[in-house]
Amino acid sequence: MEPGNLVEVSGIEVHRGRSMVLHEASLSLGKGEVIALIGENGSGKSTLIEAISGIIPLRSGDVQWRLENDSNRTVRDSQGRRRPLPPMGLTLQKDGMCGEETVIERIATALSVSGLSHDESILTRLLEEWGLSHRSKSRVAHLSSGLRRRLSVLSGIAPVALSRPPRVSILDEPSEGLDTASKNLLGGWIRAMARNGHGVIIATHDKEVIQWADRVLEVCDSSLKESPGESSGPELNLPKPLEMAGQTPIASLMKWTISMEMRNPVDTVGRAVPAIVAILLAYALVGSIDPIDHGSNLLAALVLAPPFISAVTSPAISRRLSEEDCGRWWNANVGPISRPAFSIIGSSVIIPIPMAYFSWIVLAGSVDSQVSIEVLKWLWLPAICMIDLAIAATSLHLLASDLSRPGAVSASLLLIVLVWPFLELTEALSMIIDNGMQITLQFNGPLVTCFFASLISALVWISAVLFPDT
Amino acid sequence: MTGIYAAVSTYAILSVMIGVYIYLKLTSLAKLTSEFEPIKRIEEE
Amino acid sequence: MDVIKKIGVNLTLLGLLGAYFTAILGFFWAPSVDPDQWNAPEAYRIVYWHVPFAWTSFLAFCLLFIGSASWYVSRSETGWRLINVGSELGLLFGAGVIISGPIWGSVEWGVPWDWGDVRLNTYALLTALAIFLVMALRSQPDGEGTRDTLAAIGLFGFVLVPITAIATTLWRDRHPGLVIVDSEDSGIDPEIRLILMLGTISFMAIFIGLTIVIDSIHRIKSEIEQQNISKDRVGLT
Repeated sequence: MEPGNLVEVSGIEVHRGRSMVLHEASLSLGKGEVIALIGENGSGKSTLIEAISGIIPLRSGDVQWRLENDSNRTVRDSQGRRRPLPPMGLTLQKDGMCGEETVIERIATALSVSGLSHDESILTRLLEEWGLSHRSKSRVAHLSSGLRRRLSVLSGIAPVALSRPPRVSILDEPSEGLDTASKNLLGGWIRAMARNGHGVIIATHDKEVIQWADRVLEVCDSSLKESPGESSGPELNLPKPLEMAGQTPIASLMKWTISMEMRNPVDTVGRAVPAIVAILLAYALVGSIDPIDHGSNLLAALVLAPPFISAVTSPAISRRLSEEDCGRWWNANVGPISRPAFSIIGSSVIIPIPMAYFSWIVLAGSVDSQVSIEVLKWLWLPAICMIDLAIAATSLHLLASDLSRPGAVSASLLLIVLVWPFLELTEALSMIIDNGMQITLQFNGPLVTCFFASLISALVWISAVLFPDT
Repeated sequence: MTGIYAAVSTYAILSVMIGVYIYLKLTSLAKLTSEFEPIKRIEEE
Repeated sequence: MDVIKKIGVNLTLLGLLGAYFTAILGFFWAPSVDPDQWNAPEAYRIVYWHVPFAWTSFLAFCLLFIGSASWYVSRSETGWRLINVGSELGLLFGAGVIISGPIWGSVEWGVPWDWGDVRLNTYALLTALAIFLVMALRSQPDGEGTRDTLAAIGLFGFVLVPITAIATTLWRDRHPGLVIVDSEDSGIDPEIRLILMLGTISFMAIFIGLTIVIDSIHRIKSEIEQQNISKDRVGLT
């Protein structure tokens, strides 16, 4: 990689749909440079943006980025290798935001993911400059399209503009939906970012935006044609750079997921309600019989069925990530471990244990109190293994949601394999009911049985996260 | 004759399933061929 | 191509005739089994279709696996065609296994399903995978992204086979003797063997014939789509 370059794309070939969109495409982005990507609709500008961000696979060629320690890293190549991007800013053509996020949260997330330390006063000043402070606590879904676009653009340039070391900002049609004042502000920031040594790549149709560029690359017939840019536009003063706090994409993702769920607990409710209905149905139907008379297996299955139902329910994270390319934004920022991260963070970790206990309390009323105490002491063990099952189920749902029309297929067909971990856990609970807990590594003991259930879930999870991204 | 009903119903279900599937596939092939062949012939000419 | 299509159609029809003839032989010519050794002696006649369905579904799943691996590793167009064919045939023949198996099981052994039976459960899982793939192939726009995802799902499904084998073995070790599934070829009468062979040959003919038919349909649809893509590019005139 040439010294002085922040990004180098070498001879990439990308296929989209049934056609080859880019062929032998190469570009380099130097420090302090603004490049405009232009071309007809469908020419491949967005595809090139996504290839540079490492989101899509390459048929040939590779994409390299310069790191903050001046070494370079191949973030994507045609052998299927993928590595995380250094801190950067990204604005996708669709906004890349979930409707549940608040405005201030969005900016905070963009800065955290890129490792910039911030507090509320810094965020408020930023939002003020961009005319969004009055909406800082509003949800993205409640903003007009113009304000949403403004926020999305700010999320893509703030992580770069507020950084001291040179970084790259990638913007796909940033001016679309912006009013004149916002566009002028954007132009001023972009020229100022270039002055500070940052690199900016903008895919655009907008003639005014093209004028800001130092170089113009036209995407035409799957290749790139270069022409000089005008480098025009006023330079505004950027806010003071922020201190570096270390890139924390996973922690930011976790915080984001928890915030979304606290604000709108659709995942918790969506999992808990069918589970509770199952408990009540089981109680209503077997209430008049003593389940223990029919063997502990029946009771164990009835008790664990509700947490199982909560574990395999479709996770809210897959719906949130599919909103406005939100998942693609996170995918670019989190990198190759995004899929395992989504599946763990998005699964049901708080419901299985309380649900198992609630299930036992409701359904096992006629069980001998000694047995009940023993079960209550150890019910957490199969319930914790149910969490592993939940993670495997989430990974399968996410696998199906990769398709462009996930609503047209039934992910539950892939979940059938999770019956076996459930059967093993039922077996384990049945053993605890019959003989009490045995802390031995006996093959037919509850401990080993629970281990096997978790092992099967883990194998399913590994397969579901490994194949799609290789 | 224990199990005769099971055998008969199995064969009935499977016969219908495979028969209908093959019928649909062959008619689909015939339809597509009759639509596409004339266009292909014109292009070749 | 025309000749091959005709061969495919004829093989399919011939195979279907052979399969129906096998069924008739199975009812009216095949010998009865010892009623003391079987709970539902007449139900054994299901075997004449159950075994061929199992064999052909195994072949279909092999095609699906090879196709998935082929696309996954080298984005081979042939691999994609194998996925298309393998998933449809896997669904058809796999469904045959998981319909006939439980019906037979419920009358002969009193239980329609055995979670410890490796074969039955593996077939069920792969049939579910085939249903998923067929639904996806019909609903999703064709393209590299879709193909990559479906090939990955296809491979994932096959990794589930050894996982299922482990899981069912563990279950069977704890629940032995719930269902005993006899091997189909233990001590077979020559007449039974003959009818089974006829059935297997007939189903193989159906399998090969349908492979050609489904592939031909897929090819024609692809060519039509290519034409449509060219017309898309012309735009408004």
